[in-house]
Amino acid sequence: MTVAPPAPSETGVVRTGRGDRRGPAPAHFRPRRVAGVAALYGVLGILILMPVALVVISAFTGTPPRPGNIDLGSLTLDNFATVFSPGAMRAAGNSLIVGIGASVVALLCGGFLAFVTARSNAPARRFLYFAGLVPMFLPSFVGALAWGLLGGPNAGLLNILARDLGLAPFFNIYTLPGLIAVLGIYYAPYAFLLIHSSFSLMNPDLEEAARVHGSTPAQVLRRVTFPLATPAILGAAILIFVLTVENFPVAQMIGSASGLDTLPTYIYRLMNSAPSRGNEAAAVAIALVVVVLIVTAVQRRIVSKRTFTTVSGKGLKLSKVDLGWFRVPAVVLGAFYFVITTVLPLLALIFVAMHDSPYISSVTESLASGMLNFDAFADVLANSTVHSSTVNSVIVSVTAALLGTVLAFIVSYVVNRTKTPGRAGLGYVSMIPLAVPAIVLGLGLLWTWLLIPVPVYGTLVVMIIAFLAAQMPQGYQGASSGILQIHADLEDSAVMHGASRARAIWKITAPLLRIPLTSTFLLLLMLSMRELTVPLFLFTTDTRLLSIVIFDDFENGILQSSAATSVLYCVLIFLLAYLARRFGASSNKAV
Amino acid sequence: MRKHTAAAAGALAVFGLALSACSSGGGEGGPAEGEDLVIDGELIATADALDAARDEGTLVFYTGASEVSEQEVTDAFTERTGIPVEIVRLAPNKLQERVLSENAAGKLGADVIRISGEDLILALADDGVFQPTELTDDIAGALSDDAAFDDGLYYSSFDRVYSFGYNNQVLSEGEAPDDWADLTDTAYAGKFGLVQVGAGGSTAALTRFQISELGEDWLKDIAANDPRIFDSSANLTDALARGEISLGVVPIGTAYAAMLEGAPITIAMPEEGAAAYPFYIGQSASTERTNAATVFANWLLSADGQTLAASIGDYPVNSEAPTPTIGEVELPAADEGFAYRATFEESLENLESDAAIWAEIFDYTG
Repeated sequence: MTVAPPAPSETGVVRTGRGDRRGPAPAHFRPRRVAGVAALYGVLGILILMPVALVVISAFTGTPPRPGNIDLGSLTLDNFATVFSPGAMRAAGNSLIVGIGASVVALLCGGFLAFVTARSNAPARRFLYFAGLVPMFLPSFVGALAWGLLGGPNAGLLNILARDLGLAPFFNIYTLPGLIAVLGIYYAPYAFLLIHSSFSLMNPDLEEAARVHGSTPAQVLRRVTFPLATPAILGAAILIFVLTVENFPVAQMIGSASGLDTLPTYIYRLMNSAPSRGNEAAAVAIALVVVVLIVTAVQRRIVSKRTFTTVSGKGLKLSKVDLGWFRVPAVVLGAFYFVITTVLPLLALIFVAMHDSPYISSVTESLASGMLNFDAFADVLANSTVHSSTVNSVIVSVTAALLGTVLAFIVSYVVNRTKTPGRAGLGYVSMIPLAVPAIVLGLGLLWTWLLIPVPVYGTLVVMIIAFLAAQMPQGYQGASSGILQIHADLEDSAVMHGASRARAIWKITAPLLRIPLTSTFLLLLMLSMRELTVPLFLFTTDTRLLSIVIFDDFENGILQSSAATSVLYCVLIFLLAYLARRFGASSNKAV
Repeated sequence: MRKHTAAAAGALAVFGLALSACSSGGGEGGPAEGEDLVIDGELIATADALDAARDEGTLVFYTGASEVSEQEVTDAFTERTGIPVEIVRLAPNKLQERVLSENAAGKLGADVIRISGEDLILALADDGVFQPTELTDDIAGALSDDAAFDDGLYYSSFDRVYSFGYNNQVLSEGEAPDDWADLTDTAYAGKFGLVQVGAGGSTAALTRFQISELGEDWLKDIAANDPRIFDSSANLTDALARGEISLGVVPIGTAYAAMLEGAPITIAMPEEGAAAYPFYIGQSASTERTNAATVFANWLLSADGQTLAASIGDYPVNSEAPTPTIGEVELPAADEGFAYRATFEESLENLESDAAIWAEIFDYTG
């Protein structure tokens, strides 16, 4: 899809507007700039608009959009009958419950940890900060895999342990509350980060004023502190709602075992039925996008109205709230969160991977009688598929993060620093993937790259392209926040002193942006490493990623190998995160 | 009543014997350069074909059969020929979509494809995915009459049998069901697993068998017992092995391969019989490894390859291969009526209506 460049007459009044007194730019210059914007539209059009358009088109046609199979002659609304079928309605209902429930759980966990670490005198706050952040580096589907092993009603390790201790089995993760809990605890870091920064940036004058006028600490919290954090809490709530409603792997791993469909798993099932019902899947996908768009719009309204009231420019030291007797229980609660998100799941994965048979009748006996060995790890480490997928994951993630940062920087620069006509649209297009669930985007990307006569399907290039598209919003936001922090005068004065614009960007703006761009790069790297859903429809034999290998093994019932590979995967992600810290950009954690 | 149990440990030994007995075609990596590949008196590949095949590198094998059982098969093939094989395993429904998409883009990664489901193989053949595979005279001669389709465009490569099994560490022999009729017992409520009807030819065949031989009421009774529905039998077999479910429907080959890996599963041989369904193979039209693909297809259909299939409980299509066994237990011979087979046409005819009935009974949408 190409976007026609704006007509020349629209560009006649273009000025840089930053003290540029040269008048209208020379004729040879403007077309180039407009061509540049048109090129960016072209890139984003193919990356983002075309996949979305294909999903929309196939929702209205009767044939799946494979190459040579695009049929615009017979438009139909039949596919939308599926959207209103009892199955889809039930899936939509479940999605709603799951989204709301998981947001509440995530807010409770993340908000509590944020308050305790930012504003209380609890001991071990550094540990609690770590505990709040660390699930961010554990892909949610690995968490779901581990909790499936821990919380299965019959063969879950927790229930087996209970039996060992003479207790009745007490736990079943394969339920709606189970699904909500798993999603909630693994999305809590988003709430934690957003609310933590809000608590830390709060204007202390307001609290001080309340205290001076005789409020008790509890009243200050209730009437001042928490209301001030409301926009952050609301923003986090809606972000988490969108992310959990869109989440596919956790819903598939936990929900499908109990016959619970959510919209993403329903779409996945339609795609995988034989013959494939891709058109109906596309129709349901559009319904899902509409839901997400409505919620996102609500978020934008609420957050944009209220954000300004919370943040103050004054860097006064915030007072710590004395937790009193609750100091120790607060740490215990934080430690409990750490145990259920990180310690228990990793132990479960290691235990299952090391057990000598898939059937575990007693945890204590297995530990006592030495039924554990490292064979599964040895197998995984010697497995050529795991080797190649590890290499693939690293190549794809690093390249996608690098190119994504560059593209995001260029787009963001054009939007925020130039006055080229049509630039604002670039910003909106860049944000579209946020509203399009990964499972839908993956579908559209598959169809796009099967159709485009460029031989990238079946290569790592298509994976990199897919990740570029999927992570454009995060990259764009990261780059924009960096660019907006730096005043345009710095670059302009270089231009006034005779530097070309490109040289000014290279010598002034880019170095100043080193830290925000590095952290954008690292964010994209982490997101790419964790991503499972987008490449799910795109991978081929030679282009499997680690996340795909784990999911495939899970789907093919080779759970031990799946668990062993998951442990390796987590180690790799932690390693990359550690390297990220070494690069010194860890202080700027964008969401 | 014909209930047999098979102990995994003993079975392993027998399986090992079967493997070593089969490998008379030469040592590691098969015959030396310039020698024909002949196993058990059957010519599988001429020296020229084999040498050319070996030069083609790793063969890519897309399959809808369980990864564990296919791994046994490809390991044995590599041992006999020196040709490495890479498996890409997807549930048949996903495999079909994958193949159609890749083929449409001219990017089909597969050299050889094995899939179950008459509708699925037909769709692939109609899409021009396959090219005919030439069998050696020895193998063509030993093949059952109804195993070749469309003049060798694709072949039936064995019939897998869909029965049910239970976790023998969760249920004792006394508690376990013997026949399909026993499964409706409310004692098994919440403990039973089955696979969704659209997963592939396997579940379609099983549903055909259940509707035709056990009746729709039987299915309704099962549904009333709150079964857990899985996406694929591989997935179910794993949950059964771990004891997450106590009993479930399992393809014998899939379950037996898991048993060899230590899964505590006992396979039932129900009185009412069990559903048999073919796995079809064909070589892709776009393969650049025609020689290797042809050698692989010939070996899969040879007495040697079919003996291996029979040793994990699949009914062979080569007349030289024995009646299937699982461990020490021999399955009833093909003509004894244990394995219920629908014809190709019957399967296609009932596919949609069976799926609709099943989906309604189990309140399954998708």
